[in-house]
Amino acid sequence: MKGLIFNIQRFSTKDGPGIRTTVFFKGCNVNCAWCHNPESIDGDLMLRFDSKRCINCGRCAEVCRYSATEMIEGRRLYHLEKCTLCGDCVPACGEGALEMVGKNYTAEELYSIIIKDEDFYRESGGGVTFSGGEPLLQQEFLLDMLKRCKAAGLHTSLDTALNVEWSSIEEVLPWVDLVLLDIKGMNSERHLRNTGVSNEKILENAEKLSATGVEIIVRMPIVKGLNDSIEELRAAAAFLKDWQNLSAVELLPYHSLGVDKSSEYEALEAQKRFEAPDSDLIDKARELFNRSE
Amino acid sequence: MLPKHVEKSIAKWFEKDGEATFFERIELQQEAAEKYKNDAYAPRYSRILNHILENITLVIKEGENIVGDVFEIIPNDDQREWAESLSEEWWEDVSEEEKQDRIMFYYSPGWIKRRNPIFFTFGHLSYDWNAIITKGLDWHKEHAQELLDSGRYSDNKDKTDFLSGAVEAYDAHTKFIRRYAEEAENQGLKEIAGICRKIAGGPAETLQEALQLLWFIVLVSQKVAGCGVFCFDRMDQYLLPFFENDLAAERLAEEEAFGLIVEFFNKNNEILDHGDHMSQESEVVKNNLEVTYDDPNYIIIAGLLSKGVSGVNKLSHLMIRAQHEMRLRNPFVVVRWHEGIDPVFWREVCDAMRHNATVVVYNDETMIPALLEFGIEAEDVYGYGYYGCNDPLIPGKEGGLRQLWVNLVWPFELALNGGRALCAGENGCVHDPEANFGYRDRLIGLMSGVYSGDDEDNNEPESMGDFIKLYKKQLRFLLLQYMEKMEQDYLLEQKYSAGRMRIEDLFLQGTIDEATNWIAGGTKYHKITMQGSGMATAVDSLAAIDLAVFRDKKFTLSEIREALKTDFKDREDLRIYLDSLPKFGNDIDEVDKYATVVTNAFCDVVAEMNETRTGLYSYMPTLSTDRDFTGMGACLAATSDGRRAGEQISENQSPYLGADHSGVTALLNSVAKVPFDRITGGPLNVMLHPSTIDGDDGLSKLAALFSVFMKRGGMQVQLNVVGRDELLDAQQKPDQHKNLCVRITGYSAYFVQMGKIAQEELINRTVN
Ligand code: SF4
Ligand code: SF4
Repeated sequence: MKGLIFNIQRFSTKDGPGIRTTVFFKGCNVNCAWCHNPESIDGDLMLRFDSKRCINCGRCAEVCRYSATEMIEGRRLYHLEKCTLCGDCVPACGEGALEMVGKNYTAEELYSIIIKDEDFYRESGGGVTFSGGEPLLQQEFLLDMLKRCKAAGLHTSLDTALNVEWSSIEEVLPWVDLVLLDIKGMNSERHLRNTGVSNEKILENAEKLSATGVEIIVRMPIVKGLNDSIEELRAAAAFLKDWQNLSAVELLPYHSLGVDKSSEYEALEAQKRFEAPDSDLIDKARELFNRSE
Repeated sequence: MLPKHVEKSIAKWFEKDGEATFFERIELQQEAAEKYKNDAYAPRYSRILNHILENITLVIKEGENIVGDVFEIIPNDDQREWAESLSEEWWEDVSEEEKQDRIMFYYSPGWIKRRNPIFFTFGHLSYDWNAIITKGLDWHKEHAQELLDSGRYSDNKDKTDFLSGAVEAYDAHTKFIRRYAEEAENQGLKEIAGICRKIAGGPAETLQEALQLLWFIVLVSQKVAGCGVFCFDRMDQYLLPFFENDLAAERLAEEEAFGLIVEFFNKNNEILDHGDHMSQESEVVKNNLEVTYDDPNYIIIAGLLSKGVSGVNKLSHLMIRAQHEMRLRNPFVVVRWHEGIDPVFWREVCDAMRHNATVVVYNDETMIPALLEFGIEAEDVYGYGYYGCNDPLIPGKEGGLRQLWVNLVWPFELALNGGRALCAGENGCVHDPEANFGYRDRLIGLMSGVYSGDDEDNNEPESMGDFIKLYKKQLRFLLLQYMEKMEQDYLLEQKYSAGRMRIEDLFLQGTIDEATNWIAGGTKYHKITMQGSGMATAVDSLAAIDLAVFRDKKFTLSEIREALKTDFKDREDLRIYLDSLPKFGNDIDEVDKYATVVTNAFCDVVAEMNETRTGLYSYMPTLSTDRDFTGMGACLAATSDGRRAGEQISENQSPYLGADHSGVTALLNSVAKVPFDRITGGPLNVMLHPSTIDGDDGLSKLAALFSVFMKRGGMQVQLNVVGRDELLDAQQKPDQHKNLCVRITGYSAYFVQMGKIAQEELINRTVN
């Protein structure tokens, strides 16, 4: 069994305590309009093309066996539907314009990378974070990874949106020290509009999660006009009010990272640009969550 | 909080005109050189010094507790022309052989041009500062006088001249300090006058007196005699008794001590200009008439006193705090890390570093074994220090810098091509096949030419083991050749040097007792620092041969050789392939193991040189390029790491520019695999974005990051927290900044992977 991973970030300092390695799983079943990792949603490999680097030399077209890349009037032209994601064109490009995003790792391979920074985790009280995408969509692989990491005594965090069956969450929890729980809004209709899925299952799972006693940090992306109404935030504060094991609520104001990224994938539609919420709203919201602690 | 007058002085310094010159010095020096031209070298040297010190303007600024400065003017055209003509007279149209008679070692043509050969010193050393402040100038003078009177050297005129020159030179210092006492008295500064009078001849008793005496010595040595780039040795150790006595006698509060330290640090900065001596083309460097204008001084703190005994004390804390609050380029503070270092102190160090204070960290745990291997005795080893550009030394027991920058990539080229250069310069690299270790190369200590290798018995290698043997054989051939010639040079130098007392000989251990300058053997240690350059390029090139030829058998050795000869002409496919192979800096063992191979090959040869040498000088290996990695790269053909002909080689201990892209822990893990317990110096620059290490929490992470690096066997680290300018640069040159990690609200991202708009947003938010 292999896991499809799109990034491994070492010296990650913002996904849980201490120095961490964050492993980003590819594939997600929540499709946030503002996603800052739009390449993570699709559960397959993807070819990234950086047009700024391309000098239209034609090497990629030369090696492509499926005519998925051609040179037309001296310019590289890519046909998504013909591409088999064989990856041959990537090493042929000397300009670094092409990259295969997503790589299949065996648990052993992935673990051997994670464990290289063990000394750093121990010294700093850090560990490993499984993020995504939605790691729970590759639950079996995730469970294997969690067990290996716990066997080595590493601190483990799971970054999830919880939009999966409870049983699959329950099964991995014994090997999770900290859950980074993404909540994208309390209003079900708006949630559906913003992410393509409604939030009943998510909130139900969240309640169950809080009852298990596992440490939780809630992270809420805030996008102007989409989920930044004060009612929405009040509802979130009320929802979290009695959680005993909630150690922090982090508000993440919108950032346009995803817009630029989406433009580098011919397989992706261009992401719409949103706006960050007003800063006094963020201040107000912070107060709201502080009070409910 | 910094004292007001220091803040004012810092603000003023940033406004300082690059052409400001201590012009009196040049005029007085010329006057005296003429006046005493018939005297023997040492007395003449001291008389020139005395003449300058008797006549220069005294400067005391408002609010100062530590006084002593020089008077500067902006020279007019006539003055400038006259000064330029002196440089010509001294150094232009002078053959290298003649230069060798005058001085043995110099640095660059720009560096010597302001230096009169009869009033010359190279600096780059540490005095016995503790002896200066605890014994005083009178003691030093009397000691030289007694030796002179004892008749011990009465049959050797060089030595008696040397000693009488020394006596006069100590006197010149004393009189100069007394002039300041008078001046202070005239200005109604009773306390300062009293201090100056006391330390003009006698030892210091208080912290203020000690710092004042140190400052006068530095002012004279650095600004008047041109002896700069000092190591101040372990200042937190030798000043501690003064500080503690002051506290016990309730003469001084801790905050006042802090103020004095800040003043002293600032004095070191104040006397320098903005020029960067490594950029010969910059205006400031071209026009500057000073002998020392970009010569940072190094202060050593913390570290072990002996096995298991930490030297961290109250002064270490005050000094790191001073450095943190001042954030000046000079002086450098070198913190010696060791296992079990006080965690509170370590946090303070990391906090100063993340605010870009000029702090570098060295690891006692690797340095001590390395120094022991390369000839430092157990009784001295815990006292090691550093001076400018990361050269190790034993303070007070050795003289100035002698070095050779060793191009570690060159023997790779020779190994690949039977001991001969791969091309004759037709690919845009500067290949002069006639170049060799000529005088000039030896004098400036730079191996950046094309040196012929050993072209006998080079069978085509059949395994990686064979190839490594060839690499080592060529490296050994080159360095032994160098040593042979250098030993002849130094014999000549010793002959020429007899009786030539220079300022540093006054304050080193052994020189006065032996009545011999350090060059000719007065001090205990003599060494040439062998600065190994381009380690990562050599490592990546060897690894590529291993992977492409011997492991994967994708290409033959001769195929690669032919492609490199033509700089990959018609073989871009091969270049792209080689470029895509794993590189040093990403924590990949199959590549990183060549860091051990290259380092051990280098250290083995240096160790062999030490065993077989017949001269006075021993050799010490470092991994350091300073900034000549472009010059060295220009001489090299293409390499099997995918580097094109003439392109730069890797810098210091770092991976090749932009080759590390797996995060800073991966970088540090790779570097820590270098067997540093055999390497005695050289820097590693780590770049981080402030957002990854902000807040208390971020400080803990930084402290953990660097202490793990040290525990894993890293030797040195210095941090560059990037700001706006670096981000703008990264935008222009994304390939060189792949590892630059930034934080956007709650997410982390690699800066160069972010889109233009996102980058702009971040740049706009980056203040410094
Ligand atoms: S090989 Fe790279 S640079 Fe050349 S056309 Fe393809 S993508 Fe562009
Ligand atoms: S991944 Fe394979 S099929 Fe797709 S464009 Fe590249 S070479 Fe062609």
